Amino acid sequence: MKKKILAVVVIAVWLMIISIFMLLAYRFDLEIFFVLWLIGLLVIVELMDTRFSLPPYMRYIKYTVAAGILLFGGIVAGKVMEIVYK
Amino acid sequence: MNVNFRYVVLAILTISILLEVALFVPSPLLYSLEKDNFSSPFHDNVEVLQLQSLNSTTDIVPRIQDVIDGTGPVTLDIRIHDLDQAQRDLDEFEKSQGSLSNLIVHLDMNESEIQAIEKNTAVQKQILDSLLNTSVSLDSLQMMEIQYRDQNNTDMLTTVRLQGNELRKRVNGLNERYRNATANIVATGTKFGLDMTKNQKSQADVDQIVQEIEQPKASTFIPVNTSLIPGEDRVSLFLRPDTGKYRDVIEYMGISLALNGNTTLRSENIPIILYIDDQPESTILTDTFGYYDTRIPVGEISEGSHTVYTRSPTSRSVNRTLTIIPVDSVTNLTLSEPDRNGDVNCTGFVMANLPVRSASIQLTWDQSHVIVTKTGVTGEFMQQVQLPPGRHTVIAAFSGDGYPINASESDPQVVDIPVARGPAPDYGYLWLIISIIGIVLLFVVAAAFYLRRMARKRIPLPANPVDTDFPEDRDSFLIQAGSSGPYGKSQAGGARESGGDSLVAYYAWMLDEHGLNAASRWVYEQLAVRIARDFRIKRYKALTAREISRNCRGKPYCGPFARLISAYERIRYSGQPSEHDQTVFETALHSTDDLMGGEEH
Repeated sequence: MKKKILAVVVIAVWLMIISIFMLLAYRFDLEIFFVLWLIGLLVIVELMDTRFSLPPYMRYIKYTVAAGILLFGGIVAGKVMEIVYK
Repeated sequence: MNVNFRYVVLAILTISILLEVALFVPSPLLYSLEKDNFSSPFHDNVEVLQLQSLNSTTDIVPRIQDVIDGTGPVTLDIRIHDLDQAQRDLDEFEKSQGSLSNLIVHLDMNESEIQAIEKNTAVQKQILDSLLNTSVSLDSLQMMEIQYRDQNNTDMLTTVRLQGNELRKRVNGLNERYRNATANIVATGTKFGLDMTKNQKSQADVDQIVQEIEQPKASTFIPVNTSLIPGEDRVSLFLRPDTGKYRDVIEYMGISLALNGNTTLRSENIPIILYIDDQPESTILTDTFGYYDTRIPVGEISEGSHTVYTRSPTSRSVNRTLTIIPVDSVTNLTLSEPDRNGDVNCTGFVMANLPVRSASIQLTWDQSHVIVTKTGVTGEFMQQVQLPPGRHTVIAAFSGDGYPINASESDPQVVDIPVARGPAPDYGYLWLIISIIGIVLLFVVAAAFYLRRMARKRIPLPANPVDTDFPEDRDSFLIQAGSSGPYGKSQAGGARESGGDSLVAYYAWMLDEHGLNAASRWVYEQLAVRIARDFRIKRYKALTAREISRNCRGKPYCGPFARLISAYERIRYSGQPSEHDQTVFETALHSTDDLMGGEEH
């Protein structure tokens, strides 16, 4: 199986696991879902990364991860504000 | 990071997550005690509910006993005609019944016995309420009866008597309902081992009260002539009470009658207009028995006596007098700290016996400027006033015009408006903004670092051109350099003499030994390495000769190199390289090598 297809399958399975557990807990939190997705993506990128070459799909995934990190920063800032305003 | 090490870390993480999940799944934490409020009305924190349900029914038995005992004093008070005390006891009963109801709702919805007690005590409370109201009304009617008898007012005596009968009809059946409710409570209470004496005693009292109401003792009512003149309609009116203060509720009631032949007809569903001082105040419809009844609180009406009467479409009642007693008021004023613009919030309230609603308040500052505002439904007012720099005195005044309330004025309030109003920075807010910007920046840097790391693969920069194929004996190589083409032996020797131009010399040797194709390839590879080093192109091996040439910009050798690449492509890929191509290639090679600085590059 090609690396990128494998990556898609793994991330889909990971998201399904997260969703199932959230459904079991009757508590669907979008922020937690996002952070767990980002962690999964980081692990996958780290494992499938190549040493010398950078295929376009890896470049796009890394741009997505960078955008995810920015969004994660936004979530952290929002939480800090929530705590401060409490 | 070593790949094996990565897999070990990942395996450890996965195993630990699965272990945690395995511990969590048998008893998932659906709700925490810290979060017991949910936005959805269909959510209840079961953890909290379970905790509350730990209170067993025996814990609330004393409360149930209090509620059940509450009926005794109420019925007794009604019976002995201590209506004020009855009202107080009934309020107390209602309060404990409400708290019991709340407790039961939170405790457990499935406790049917407790539900039965709650339901039956509610019925008892409702009946006691009715009995108390009826007793009060009958008392009032009795007083009015005496009053009208003294005045020999036959119309009103008839009205009062009919109203009394109406009240008695309403009481009918209360006794039976109370008996059923009491029987249910006694049955359930006995199950819990409660003392039901007081509750059972209340049943006897209620029996007696209802009996007295339904079958009054021999009335001292003097028969009066209540006949009407045929064709004449009558409308009666009486007020209860006929004196009041601000926001006291006055009840206006009466009956509309008409005589048709020998029958007295009740005028059903006809509009009755209530006039106060000849001004229409309200319109009321009579009920099926010809009665009308309305309650109007004393509001914006002046103090003193007022004439009140009602009109039906065909008749008018006699005049009644409503006396409004004035009350004193208190006006309060509070000033906030001035802001940077000199704005001051003036807040306060006007209170008489109750808060004064919609009253005009005059805010006067420095006895020269007046601003008018109004109170709200709670009697409170708020007005923002912009004041110039300096010291100011502000007073709030309520004139009482149009109200049965005496005028009042607040204490003077002094406020200082500073001349220089510099901006007062909110450091807490400032720090928060800085922190948020810092956090966002931190993550921006993290994202940038991540992207930069992506571009910084561990690819070694191209090293100096390796001439591993170069013969060990350089001199012999130069001597052996081929003689065909423009770069023959003589050129090779010339090169040696001129300082050892190895690229050109080696090209000459390659040309002799392996032909133009291989020599041009070798030259291209050597130059490509140099250019990749100059322009920091890491994957130069993955690029074509033309792409390398395109990447070469801004250096003096880039022009000759482009020509060299053009000739190189023709030599390598045209199939039949011409002498001209070779000449162009060698000229360009020479120029490029010269401009690059030869081996020193």
